[in-house]
Amino acid sequence: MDDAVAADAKVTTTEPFEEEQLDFVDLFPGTALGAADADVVTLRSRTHLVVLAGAEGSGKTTVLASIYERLNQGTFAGFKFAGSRSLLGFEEICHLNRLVSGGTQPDTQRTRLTDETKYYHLALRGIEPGTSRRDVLLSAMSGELFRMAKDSQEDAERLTYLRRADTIIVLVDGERLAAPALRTSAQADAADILESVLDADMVSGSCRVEIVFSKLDRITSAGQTALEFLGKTQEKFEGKFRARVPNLAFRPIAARPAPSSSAENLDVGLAEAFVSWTTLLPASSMDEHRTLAAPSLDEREFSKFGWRHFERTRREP
Amino acid sequence: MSNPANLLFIGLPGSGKTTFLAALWHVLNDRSSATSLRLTKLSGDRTYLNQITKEWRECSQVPRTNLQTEQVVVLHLDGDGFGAFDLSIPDLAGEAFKQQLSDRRISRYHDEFVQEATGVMLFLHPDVEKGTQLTQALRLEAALGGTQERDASTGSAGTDTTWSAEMLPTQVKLVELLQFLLERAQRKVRVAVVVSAWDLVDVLGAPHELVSRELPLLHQFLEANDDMLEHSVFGVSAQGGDITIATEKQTLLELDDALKRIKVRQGQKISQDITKPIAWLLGSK
Repeated sequence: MDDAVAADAKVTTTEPFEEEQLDFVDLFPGTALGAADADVVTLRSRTHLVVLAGAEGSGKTTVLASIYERLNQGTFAGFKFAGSRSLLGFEEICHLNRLVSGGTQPDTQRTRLTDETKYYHLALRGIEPGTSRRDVLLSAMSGELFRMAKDSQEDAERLTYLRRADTIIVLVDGERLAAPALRTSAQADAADILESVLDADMVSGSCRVEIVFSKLDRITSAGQTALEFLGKTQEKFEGKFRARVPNLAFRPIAARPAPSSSAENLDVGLAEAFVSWTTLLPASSMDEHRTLAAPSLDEREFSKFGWRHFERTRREP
Repeated sequence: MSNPANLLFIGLPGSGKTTFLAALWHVLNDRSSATSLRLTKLSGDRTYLNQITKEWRECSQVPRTNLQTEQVVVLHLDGDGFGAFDLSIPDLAGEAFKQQLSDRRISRYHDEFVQEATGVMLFLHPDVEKGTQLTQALRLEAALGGTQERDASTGSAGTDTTWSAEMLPTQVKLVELLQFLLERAQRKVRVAVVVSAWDLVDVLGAPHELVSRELPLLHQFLEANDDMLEHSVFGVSAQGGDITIATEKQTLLELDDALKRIKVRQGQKISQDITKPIAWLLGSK
């Protein structure tokens, strides 16, 4: 029988494998994107940039990780996952909420203060048939960068890439808001961040700005006083910023609610938030008159990224 | 001169690529069952095929391909509506795909197969690494009232493990491999997703339902990229059972025809035709 088999097929044996003789083609890194890699994404298609800003520990990275975690479980917020250039980056920030991490309680790796802002990419497609693909870049800005921006107008002006953000989310740390000793500074931290970027003229007229009260489950469990303070904080922000930010909105979320929380309602909150954050507002007349000087050659790469994208999208009909 | 067709098998180590090839060669060579594709002419050196098929016939573990034993198999086939063609199948090591994920590069040797591939078979074993979230586990434990039991059973409190790409859940690895494929191919590709060891999970529903339930990220990726990637999901039992269990192995060996070990499921259609995924890749409905 084997003799008959012997004539039916041909097998080509490959040459002995010697790695040093092989030539390789580089693949995309898959980590969180630097400005140059983010540029590759924005050059391919119109990309929605969502920037999460907030003091250290306010929950920026947890929000990013939670959006990706929900997509890991199925469709989310009316979207199907269509790809990502930063899967490794997402996986890394989700690690401390995985059984394999060896931890016993969910945690999130803090955003590191790095020279270059990192971007996380998602390609999405609506669950309805015939909907087109859309690309989203999400970025969490380190609390330290914002502290520097808060302390110095010069540092705030370095964050020029905010000019091309379609959505800026300023997080108010719900955990601190629920603690009487910390709530005023939590409120002030968020207000200072928004004030700094507004003073530096970093927010375009078509940019959606949301004040997001994070860790809603902590606020809720702290009782009525904490909820009332949340309401007062919202009133205060309305009064302070409404005139300067036409597209200002408020939203409480719990991106990763405690297991004891009524998770269903809180989950809906994140999905609704994500829909809002990835919906384009019409370009405002303010943008028509905005002119920016090109950044100098020695400016940081991410500043140039922001300027290039802003200029390109401004020209689009 | 027959038309050439080139398949590319993609899969992590242990995902069933070589076992599929061994069973395929047995079926084609046996010629006693009705299959979508059939052998035509005779040629060449088949030492490798004979070696892996011998192990399969004896219900022994078909040896995994490593980087030193990669082979390219060429089969001369025809089928209704296809005519005669030469089918080239490189049996690449799962280790090579694992290295693509960690090293973020592909050898030019493998890249050539990507460029030339007429169709792609993506193999996955149903025993997937799911990347379970602590929040999900704690929520489940809270519902079951067993938090303390988990802490005691894992015994890992405080033993924080540094993240590495080795820890990627299976669905993330497979999505990344498909992204590499699309990045390099730069054209629309047909992908037959083959869930191997199908006998282990057959009672749980159709193959595409398993992918949707157990690997939702991969399922979404396949659905959302239908403009670049046409896919169908097959469940393939090439061994017929768990050959590491002595009684199951004995039962398989005692079958009057080894072809009965094979089961192929696509949707609700069940057959013993292991050529079906290949025929689908080549244009069959």
